[in-house]
Amino acid sequence: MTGWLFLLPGFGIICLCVLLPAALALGLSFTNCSRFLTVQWAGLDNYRRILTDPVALKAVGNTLYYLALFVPTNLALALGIALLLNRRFPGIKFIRSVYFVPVAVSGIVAVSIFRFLFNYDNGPINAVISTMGFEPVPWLASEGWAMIAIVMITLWKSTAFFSIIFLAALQDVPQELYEAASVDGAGRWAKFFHVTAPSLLPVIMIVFTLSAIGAFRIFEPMFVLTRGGPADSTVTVSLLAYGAAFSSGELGYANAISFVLLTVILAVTLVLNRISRKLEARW
Amino acid sequence: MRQVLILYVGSLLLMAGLWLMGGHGRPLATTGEKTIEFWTYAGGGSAGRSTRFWRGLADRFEKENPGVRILTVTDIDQGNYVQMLSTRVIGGTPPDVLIMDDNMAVGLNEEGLIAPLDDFLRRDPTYHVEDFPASMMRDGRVAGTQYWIPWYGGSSCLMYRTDLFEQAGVSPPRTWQEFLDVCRTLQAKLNMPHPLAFDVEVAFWLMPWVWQNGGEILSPDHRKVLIDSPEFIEAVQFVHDLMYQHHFMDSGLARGMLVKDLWSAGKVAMIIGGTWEIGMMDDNYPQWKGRWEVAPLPAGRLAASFYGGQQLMMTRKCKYPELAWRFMVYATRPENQKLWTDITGSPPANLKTLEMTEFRREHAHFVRLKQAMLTGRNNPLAPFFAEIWYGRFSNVVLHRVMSDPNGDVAAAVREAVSQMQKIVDNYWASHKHFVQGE
Repeated sequence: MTGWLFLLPGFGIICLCVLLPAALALGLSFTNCSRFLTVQWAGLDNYRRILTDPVALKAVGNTLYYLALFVPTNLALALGIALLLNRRFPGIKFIRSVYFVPVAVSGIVAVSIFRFLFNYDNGPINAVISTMGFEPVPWLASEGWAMIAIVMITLWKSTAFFSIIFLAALQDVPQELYEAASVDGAGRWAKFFHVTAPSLLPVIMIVFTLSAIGAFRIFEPMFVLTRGGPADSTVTVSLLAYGAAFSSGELGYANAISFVLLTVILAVTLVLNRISRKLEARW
Repeated sequence: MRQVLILYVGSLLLMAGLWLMGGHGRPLATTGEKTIEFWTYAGGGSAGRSTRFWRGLADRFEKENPGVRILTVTDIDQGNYVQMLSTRVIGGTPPDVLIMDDNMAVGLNEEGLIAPLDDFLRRDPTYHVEDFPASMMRDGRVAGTQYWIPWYGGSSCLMYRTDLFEQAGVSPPRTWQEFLDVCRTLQAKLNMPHPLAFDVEVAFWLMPWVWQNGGEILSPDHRKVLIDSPEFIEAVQFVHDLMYQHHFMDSGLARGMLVKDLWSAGKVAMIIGGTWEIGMMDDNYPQWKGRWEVAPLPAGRLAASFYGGQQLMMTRKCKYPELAWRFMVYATRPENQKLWTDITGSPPANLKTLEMTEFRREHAHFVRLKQAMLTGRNNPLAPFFAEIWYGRFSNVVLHRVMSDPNGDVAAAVREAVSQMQKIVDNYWASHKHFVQGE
């Protein structure tokens, strides 16, 4: 009983600061609510609008496109870099520390740096491309390239974090397994697929899940760099919700978008957890 | 159990302490003092100057009205203004008097938050409606009721280098054809590849061209999107052609701050700007002091220019409405409007200010553009206007075609119409009839 009483204040704060606002937001999602909290019942209209509004559908498409580009690339890069860093040689600790710097840089600062790097006329990236004999790329001004530029920024920012997670997991893999594999004549790739990957499976699934959740919620680079442009090519679900709430003052619609996103993220997380458990049982 | 009791009592004491330390809405006034809380937002480069003007005005008003305190809140960033205002409104403590951009004010008025001013206008012989541009007064009316009065109004205009024009032997163009001829002459005589610049991806600058060609954005009742008219498409195509057919503008540099960079570097002879920038031109570009002028925009089928700005209004929850009205009238007096221009460089809305001898001497640029004040027009003041014009239209049309030499203006406009109309229809499905300016 005493234990429950100790839990009560914390639980009360969670109810007040998390559950109650969430419940209110869910209620508002069934209304037309202005930024001055003038409320009018709307039923399922906001949810229907998500399915018929071309901008909302474009936002969903862009988010899935970002997910498809970011998640597998992030996973592969993070694991690859972790494997490279999982060695012992002079200076490796320094290299690992330097490599972690992008994680320490704030998101807004990182995006601002890349705005300069991607500048069409004066940016260093286009300068390098030009010296290689290619045409400069209109990174943030082109419908085709804008999302790719944003993926590059978020990869730079987050791969380091996930590679540290992989690095920690790699160091837990028993060396005896590698020795046994060597004795059995396994080469580098065979060791990776039959020793490293199965040992890292739980961590791979965690990184995959966290990357996917982050990808669904992506907002900062689009908000700072492109505001969803050019021509809606980088508008995502989170940016759409922000625009609906703070630009258009349509809090009901914004809340509906947020709850749809929450539902999708929960569903994806549950599915990935199930897959993870099945794979672990099998391997 | 004793630990639990300590935990609960400690938490309650902590929360009580935090509540006591926190703010309680408005600052407490001295006994007997009447306080009017006034809000305006800090915009752009003149932010500090605006604060200086309003504090000075408030001090003078307080001296002339003992027992009155004007609490000025002038440093809210423009981007956060509406959000902060909505927080105060929801909390039940809105400011008494505020300034808002007319586009922002429409949403506020729709919520029923602004106090009608007809009674004050009827009873107060010191405020003369005819001293202010008719279009701005009209913008403040809904169904015949006046909800705000003009504070300052700006118009779009041509800004040009007088020395370069003299060198090329040209005068400010008055028509679209003259405009093309002047650009061509500047290119040839000055060896200037791109004599013109303005931000082609900001829909605001496109509006005058559209109106001048007889096009419209919305129907008068704000229910139908009209951008697929031949006149509208022709106007957008004209701007597109300025870059890609006539090469009067550099398509890569006709964007945002690059336009001002080109002006600063002397690489263009003309830009399209607003009269709200006039006051800062010599400070920002001292190298061109005395070597630039303003002129009305060249006319197409019609002579049309944007004219709109900031409005002064009172909220319904104002405790001292008579006092608030006196403060509003005081602020809009010609001498105070002149002071506003002196300090901030922004144009006045009071036409009497333009007749003052000192004003005519010190701010001749604004006097030259007086006609735009009298005949200019605002964009449709509908709550959804920003979303359809600066959102959908910009994204679907401008961002796509203005950076593409082969951009199909008509196709992009047709795609934008359906998206814009959907937003308009959604709005009217859940809102009662409300048209600002009726």
